[in-house]
Amino acid sequence: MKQSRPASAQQQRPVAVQNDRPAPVQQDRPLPGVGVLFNPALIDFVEQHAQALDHLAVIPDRCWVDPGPGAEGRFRPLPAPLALLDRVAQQRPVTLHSIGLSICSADVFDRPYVDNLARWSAHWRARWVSEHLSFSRVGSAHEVNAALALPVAYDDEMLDLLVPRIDAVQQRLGVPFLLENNVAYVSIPEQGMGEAEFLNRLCARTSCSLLLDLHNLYTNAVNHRFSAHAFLDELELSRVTEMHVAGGQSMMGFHTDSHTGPVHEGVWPLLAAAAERASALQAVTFEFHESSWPMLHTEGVLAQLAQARAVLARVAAKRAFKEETATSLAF
Amino acid sequence: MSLAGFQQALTAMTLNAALAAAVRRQGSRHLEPWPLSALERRRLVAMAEQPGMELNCTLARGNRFAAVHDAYAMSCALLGPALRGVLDALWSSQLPSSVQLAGDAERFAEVAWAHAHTLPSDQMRAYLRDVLAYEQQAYELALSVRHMPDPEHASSPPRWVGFEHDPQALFEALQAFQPPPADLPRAPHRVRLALVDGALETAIFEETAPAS
Repeated sequence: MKQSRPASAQQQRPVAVQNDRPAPVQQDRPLPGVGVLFNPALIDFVEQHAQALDHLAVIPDRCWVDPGPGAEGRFRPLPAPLALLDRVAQQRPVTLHSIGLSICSADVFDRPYVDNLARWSAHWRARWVSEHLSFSRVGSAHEVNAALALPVAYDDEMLDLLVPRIDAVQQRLGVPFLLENNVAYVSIPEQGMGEAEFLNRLCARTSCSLLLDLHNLYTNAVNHRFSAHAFLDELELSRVTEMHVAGGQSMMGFHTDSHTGPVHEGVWPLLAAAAERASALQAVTFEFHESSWPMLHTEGVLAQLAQARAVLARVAAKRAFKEETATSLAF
Repeated sequence: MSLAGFQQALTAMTLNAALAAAVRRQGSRHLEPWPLSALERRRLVAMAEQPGMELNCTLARGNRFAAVHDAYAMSCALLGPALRGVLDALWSSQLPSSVQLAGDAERFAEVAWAHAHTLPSDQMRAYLRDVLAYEQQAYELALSVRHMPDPEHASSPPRWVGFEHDPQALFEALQAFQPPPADLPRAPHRVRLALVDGALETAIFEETAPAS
């Protein structure tokens, strides 16, 4: 999602030419775009402040009713939310962030869901489609939904389950497919590997990219007492296409990924650290639950977008300075 | 394939806090309904023992409750402490079957009325009958138009709900999340609900005695 406004970090500066080596060409690298995950509280905001957004992420599951596999009338469109999303999709480029695939379910790989996702992706000309690295659906004959995205074990068994599915989804969609790191309030013991290694191996074996949810990472790091920065050091950040930023709240002694209010202050340093090395990053998306609109209003949402842009601009400036320094120091 | 069993068992614990507690207290014998490897059994017991499992159960309940509350906000407010028992009964009789968690709102009125005896007074039970009937009709009206080509401008024939007590007094209190007055006099009313150009319109009429 290329940002149209110029970045001061990309000004051309003279570089010293040493010996016979030609001066390196400074590559312009546009800043990643900044947008929001659409929710019904943002109807007026999108229409009145479209210029503040580089993209809109939408949850397509809001646009249909799905009684589940085998049932009649799957994915019956809901005209009201569909008309709304059709309108907002005319304002800005769209990405899809679906919630119903449950790609990690052992019981079911819902190909009709993938087909439906592909139809709507084409309808809105989505730039990419993202889903969650978790499961919420079990059972094949009589499906049960967990009412929560549940964690998976990071081991070879899950890798082997996912690889062909990701390839199938990617082939069917025809646009990039991203998987989002999950938030987990219980940890699974005796795993084969850590989350970062799992994601790296998944990306190495498939063509999928990553949606790095920084608030999910922050939440897990707080609740399970590990270093989020160490996680970022281990993760192959070059496979990250999009990042999410969000806020949360305390509940029952945990920090939860409730998408409440503004971006949590602990997330901004993670964005700065991750963006520095995420060479393929195209978009940063602010998520909030519609119930937080009274807390945020237009000014609050604009402030989050501005903060995200400021972080990305500082990262770009720092990168440009390092490149120039390395060039001027080269023999 | 026992991975399926592992996920089914974890889902069952997430949807049933009592099961999670039983596994935490008494170990894997409560996991016998599911085909599990030894590793999976150890994993599930360890997960049940973590404080985060209780949070998982609470969050799942919260997600299921959201759909019910959207349709029956006033009834939920009226039920007060009795609401927990209603939800336990609703959710133990029916598991969520889709990502949209459909089904709970459809059955809420029936289950809530079946638990009306847990309310502290006949007066409160009468209020519940009135308010449940009203919200059920409003919910069914909303469902009836959601697949129409232009639901935001849809209109519907009116539906009527009888109230034994003043609906205005009940609505004002419950919409402010306050308990209604404990001693509203019996005052039969009829409430007309209709969708007019996409908006729910409610009109309240006092019942008049038939002319002698």
